[in-house]
Amino acid sequence: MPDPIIRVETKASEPIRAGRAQVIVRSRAVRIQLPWPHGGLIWNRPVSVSIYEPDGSGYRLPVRDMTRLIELALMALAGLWLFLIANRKTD
Amino acid sequence: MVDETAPTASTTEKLLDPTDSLEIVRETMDQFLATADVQAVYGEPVQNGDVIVIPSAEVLSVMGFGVGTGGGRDESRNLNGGAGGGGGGRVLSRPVAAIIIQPDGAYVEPIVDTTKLGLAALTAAGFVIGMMLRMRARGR
Repeated sequence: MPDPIIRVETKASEPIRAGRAQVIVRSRAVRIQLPWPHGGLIWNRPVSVSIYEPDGSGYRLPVRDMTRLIELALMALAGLWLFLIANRKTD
Repeated sequence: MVDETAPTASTTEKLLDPTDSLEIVRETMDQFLATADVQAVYGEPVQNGDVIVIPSAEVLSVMGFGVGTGGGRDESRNLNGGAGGGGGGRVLSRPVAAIIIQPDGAYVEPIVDTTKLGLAALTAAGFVIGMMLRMRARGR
């Protein structure tokens, strides 16, 4: 079976010792690979970090890309502004 | 009488065989696809006293290749051929956050790229102004 053209993979690292705790970081990669090796694209970004305490407890922190969120908010505001102006003109 | 300029089958195959080029392309693609690993996103932990900092970044890699071969016979019926190839790629990386690990807990400190946001704001503003001018021109 040939490899899929678009593949989304979530990968975790080996445990990193941080003091008494252990840390595991995760990333998610979107791979686009054309059937013949004409080219490809890889978009890899951090997703989350898990911290495990010596007593067995653990918690996960998401890694949020604030720059991209603000960027998308700016574009959404621009689109909303244009939409409102266009509708006001047609009233 | 033997025509010494007549190409043999092995010569023909050698002229048109793109195996070496394709092998290089495949090897480079394998290395390129290996960047989809977690090590490409997170840096080495940096420790200062009891505090450990793990930097993280977003990585975008794009690569493309092209290989071509061709051949034919000239007026003297001699076989001519050639092969060529080319490729290019780009890797873009941008810091996203720093993971701070302290004895009393851990937290994620986002890294805001003000330059990118400034460019995005200018682009959005330019687009909005352009569309408004266009709508005003249509309204006249």
